[in-house]
Amino acid sequence: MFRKSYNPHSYWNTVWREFNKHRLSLFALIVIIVLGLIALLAPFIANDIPILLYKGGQLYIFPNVITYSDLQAENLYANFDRWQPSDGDWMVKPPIPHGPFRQNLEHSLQSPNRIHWLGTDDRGRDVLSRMIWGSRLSLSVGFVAVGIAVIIGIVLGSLAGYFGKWVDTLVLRFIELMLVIPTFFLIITVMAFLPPSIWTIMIVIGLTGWPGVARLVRGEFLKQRQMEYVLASQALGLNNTRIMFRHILPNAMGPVFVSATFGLAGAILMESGLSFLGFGVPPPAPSWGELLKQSQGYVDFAWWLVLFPGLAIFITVTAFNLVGEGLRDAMDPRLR
Amino acid sequence: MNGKEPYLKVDNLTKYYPVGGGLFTKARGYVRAVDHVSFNVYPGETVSLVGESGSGKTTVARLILRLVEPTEGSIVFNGVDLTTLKSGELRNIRRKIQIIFQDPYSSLNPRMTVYSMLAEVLLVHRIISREKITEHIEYLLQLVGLNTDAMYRYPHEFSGGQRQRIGIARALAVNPSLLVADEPVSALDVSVQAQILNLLMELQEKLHLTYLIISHDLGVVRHISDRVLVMYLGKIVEEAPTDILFDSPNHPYTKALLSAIPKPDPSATLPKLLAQGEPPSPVNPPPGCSFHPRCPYATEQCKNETPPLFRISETHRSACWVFANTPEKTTV
Repeated sequence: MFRKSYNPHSYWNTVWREFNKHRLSLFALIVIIVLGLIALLAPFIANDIPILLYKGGQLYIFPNVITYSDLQAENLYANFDRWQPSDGDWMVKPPIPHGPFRQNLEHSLQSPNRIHWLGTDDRGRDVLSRMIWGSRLSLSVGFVAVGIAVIIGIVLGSLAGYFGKWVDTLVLRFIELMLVIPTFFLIITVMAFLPPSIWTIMIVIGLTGWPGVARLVRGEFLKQRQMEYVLASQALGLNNTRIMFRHILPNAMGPVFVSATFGLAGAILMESGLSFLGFGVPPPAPSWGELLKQSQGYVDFAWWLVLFPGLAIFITVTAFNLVGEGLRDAMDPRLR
Repeated sequence: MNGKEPYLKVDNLTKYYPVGGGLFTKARGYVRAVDHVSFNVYPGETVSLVGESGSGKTTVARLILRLVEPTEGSIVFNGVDLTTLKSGELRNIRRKIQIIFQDPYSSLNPRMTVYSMLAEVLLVHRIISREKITEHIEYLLQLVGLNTDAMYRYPHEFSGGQRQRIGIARALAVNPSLLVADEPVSALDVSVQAQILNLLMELQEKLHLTYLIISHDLGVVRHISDRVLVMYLGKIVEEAPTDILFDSPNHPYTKALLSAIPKPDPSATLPKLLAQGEPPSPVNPPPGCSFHPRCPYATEQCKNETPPLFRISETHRSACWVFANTPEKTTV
């Protein structure tokens, strides 16, 4: 609706400049971006279905993401690992030519080698491929759960902070109620009753994660509500919804972003923990926690089953925490 | 002023803030921020409300804008009682009364350009069609003496005086007829203060505005107002046309205020009359005249009975037992 001009001194530009000074956080951000790209491009990185296939005089583009009905008819999708190109046929395989679900019992429990870079699990599945596909699950659980938590937190927090009085009291009591319940055990209890699926996990983690955000947003709203620009908007007859979400919220988002970044790390850890205990993503879906769970019986000799998924969780969580820290410092004017 | 209908008629306006107390407990007391204040503002005039910090001036301004709900009393604007209106009806009337704030740094949303700030108001109130909006914003900016290229900038790119001009433009966007200015220049440099005051006076003439200026700066008040109301601890203690108030003040508090204006003369002697001590707490105001603990002329009566606003002349009223309560004067 409104035109915008490029403005070299805008708030986010300043934040970005400050963030750039934190070398470690910047590095962590790059790690996250790389992880995100790996998750997005998983079918092109780790798959036994080829990226390009030339078969019987016909070129199939991206059969790894597009299901061709004639290949389906030959039941080729389930058997690409065994398919041998005949004369004139060729294919381009992804750099890691193993599917995350492809079992090969002859190759089970191999330590890291030239074919399976990070080894194989008890059913001969490639650990690296499963980890790459697992990043999809872990990251999307993180983002969706935090998204749900942030939306609930913003709505309740802004209502409480803006309207004050009994609304505030009500929301605050609700927040305190949520904070005294040990979230992890609540989620385990809830998960025990719900059908296990990735969506249930996202929603349950999201529904328990909002109190922190709500408290932050409430605090920011309390602060902003006293500002004269809010009074001016009220005097100008703008309605409360507009004042809350168009005027105050953009000024209150800084701390929310910081807390969301930390929340992402928390949600990823939570999902891994749940999956490890068997309340998470149902097998055979390869979430990092699920990989750890499968390694339980082989810990004493198959170190690669524990080390690599554990490292992936550790690196991701640390990276999100570092980015959150950098963001917090960059947004805090006192530290400039 | 007589014979004219008041444009704004404030009657017995009162705002008590509870102290302590929560959802289930009772308040321990009340801050009497505004205590039965009555005054009129006539069309086209500039009325100033003066008083020291904590006297309730700002609360009066916010009550008139309905930013704060009054505890008691009525605000009749152009024949309509604002205190009884529902929020829907209030919106249309609200356009006619606008406010300029003290702090030009917090009164503009830091995340909105001048354009989006003004366009939002114009569109919400359907003041101008979407196609003509840029043109109208240019007009508003020129009106307050800003360049039209200010439109696409953010508040932090402007100086204090420029920001105050933007604040004025935003208030004027809805075509108000009464402008309440809450300490409009006290946060600005002296040289800029004069510019903004002159702008306000120009605009008054051009747009036929009525002003209610809230200020603690008597120099500013003398410069621009037709009439002055002096507030002390939530009550009006004196009301007079500017010349009369500055030349022959009646209430000892007004005298103390006037004698406290610094004079640009190093050899000037100390002021003759100064209020003693600090203003008392508005939670627990002294009985009788609330100024009596600080007043050198206080009598027994002052300590026990609250003085009404006595009428000294047609336009001059004062709430003082000693100076205003002479036998030939009648009370209002």
